[in-house]
Amino acid sequence: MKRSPLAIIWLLPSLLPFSQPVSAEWLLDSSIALQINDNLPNASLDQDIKSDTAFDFGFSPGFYSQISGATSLAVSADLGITRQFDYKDLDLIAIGLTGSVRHKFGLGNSAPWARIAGSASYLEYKDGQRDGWFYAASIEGGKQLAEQLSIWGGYRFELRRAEQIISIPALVSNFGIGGEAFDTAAHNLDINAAYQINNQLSLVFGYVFRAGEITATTLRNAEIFEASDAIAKDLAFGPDRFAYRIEADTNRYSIGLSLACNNHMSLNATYVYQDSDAYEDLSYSNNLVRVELLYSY
Amino acid sequence: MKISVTAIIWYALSCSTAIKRNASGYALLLVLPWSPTLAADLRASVVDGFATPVADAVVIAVPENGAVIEAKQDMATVDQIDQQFVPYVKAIAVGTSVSFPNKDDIRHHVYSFSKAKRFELPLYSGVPADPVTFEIPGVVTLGCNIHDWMVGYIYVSESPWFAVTDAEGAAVIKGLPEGKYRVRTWHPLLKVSEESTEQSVDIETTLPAELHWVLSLKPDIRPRRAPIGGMKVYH
Repeated sequence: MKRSPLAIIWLLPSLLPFSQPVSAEWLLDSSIALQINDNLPNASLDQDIKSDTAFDFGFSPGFYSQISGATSLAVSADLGITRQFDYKDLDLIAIGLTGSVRHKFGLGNSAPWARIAGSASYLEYKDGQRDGWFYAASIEGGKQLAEQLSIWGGYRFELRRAEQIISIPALVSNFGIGGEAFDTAAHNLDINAAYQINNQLSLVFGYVFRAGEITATTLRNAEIFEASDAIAKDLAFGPDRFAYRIEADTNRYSIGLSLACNNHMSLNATYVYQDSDAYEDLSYSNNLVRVELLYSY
Repeated sequence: MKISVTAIIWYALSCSTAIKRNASGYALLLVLPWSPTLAADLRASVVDGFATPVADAVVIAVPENGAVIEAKQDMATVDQIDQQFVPYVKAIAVGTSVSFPNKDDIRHHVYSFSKAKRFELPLYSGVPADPVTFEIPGVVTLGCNIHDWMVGYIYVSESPWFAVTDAEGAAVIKGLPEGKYRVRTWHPLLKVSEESTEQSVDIETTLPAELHWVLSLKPDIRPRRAPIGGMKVYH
C-alpha cells in the first residue's frame, strides 16, 4: 500500500499543544537554490558521468520552544522540491518531519552547545523506483571560538529505504544479487567552521567523512557488478543503465560565502568537492556548485 | 567649578536634599535637581576616521574639581524589541535602576558578565519584577542567552552630565553648570582608551560650548543573525 507522503504534515499540528505551555515560537526556514552537479549518477567511468543543473526549493515551517534557559526543542515539517533541467526522472518531492533538542552548556554566546536531531522524509521521485524513506539521526556540538569564528561538527547516521525493490531475475538467480540498489546506510563525521568577515559576509568551511553505501550508475560492466552487492535497472539515465550499490569511503570538502541581506535573509554560494573510494579501485568524484537564497524567521 | 559652600547649603535647605555617600563609596554626592543660574549646553560631535558621523558614542562631562552632583534619576529602561536591545547603547548615572521590558512575544534571558555589573534575568516575558541597579561606573555589556546575536551596552557614568550621540554623531549635554570640565567619550568600538579621548572645556557663559572628536574605531562586527547555508539559526 502506498502511503501518502502528505500524511506526515498532519503530525505537526497534533504536536503543538504539547509545546504551548512552555511558550512556543513559530519558525520558518525556506530556500531557493540552483545546484550544478558534474557527476549526477555518481559514476566511476567517464562514459557514465552525466552532469546536470537542478532548481531546489525548500520550505520548513515549525515551532521552537525554550524548555529552560539552557535547553530548547524544535520541530519542523519539511518540504523539498527538486527540478532537474535534463534528467527529469530525478525530479523529487520530499516531505518530512525534523525534531531536535539543543542544550547550551553555560551562559553567553561563546558557551558550547550540543544538539541531537532526528528526521524522517518520504522521497517521491518521478522515477518511482527511487521512492522511499530517508531517515537521519545526528548528534553534534559547537562553540564560538572567537568573536568572528565559530566551529561545529558531529556524527550523523543516514538510512534510506526504497519503497519497492525491483530485482533483475538473472542476477538474483545466477549471482544472488538483489535489486536493493537504493537502500543505503552511512555514517558521517563532519566538522565545520564559519568566519565572519564583516556584518554581511561570512566564510564557511566544511569537511565530511562518510563511510557507508553509495548508489552509482553504470552501463553493463562485469567488474563493477562483481563489486556491487545490489543492482537494479536505472531508467532515469537511460534504458541501458544500471544502478548499483557499493561500500565506499567519501571525503567531502566545502567552502562557501554567505552574504547577509538582512536579519532574516542571506545569499549563499557554496562549492563542494567530494571523492569516494570503493572496493576494486573504483573511485567517484563530484564537483557541486550551489547558489542559494535562504530565508529564516 | 564655582559653587560656593553657601550655595550648597542653600540648596540643601531649600530643596530638602540629602548629602549621602553612594553605595559603592565612589563619591560624595548631592541628590538634587541642579539648576544653577549660570548654565550652558555642551554640544558634542563625533566622527570616525572617515569623517562619518558616529552614533551611540557616550559623551561624559566630569567637573575638574572632582565634585560630582548626582541628578535624581527616574528609572531607566532598556527594551527588547525584535530580538534586539533598544537602545543599543544606554547611558545612565551611577545608582540608576534599569528595567528590561521584553516587548517581543517570545522569551529572553538577559545577562551580563561585565565587571561593572554581573547579573542574570532568567528566561522571562513581559517586565521583570525587579529592576537592576547599577552601582559601579563602567561599561556593562548585555546579551541574551537564547538569541546570541543580541548585544547591547549600558554605560554607567560617575557624572550626571552625559549624552549619547544620535545618527548624525551629535549629542547635547544640557544645562551644564558653570565651571571647568574634563569631557571624554566612549564607544563600543573605540580602539583607544576612553581616557585618551579626554578634552577640557570651560563653561563661563550661557552660550553653548562645542567639542568635536575624531575617533579611531574597530570594525563594527556584530554577532550574525541571518541564516548561513548548512546552518540552522535556532536549533
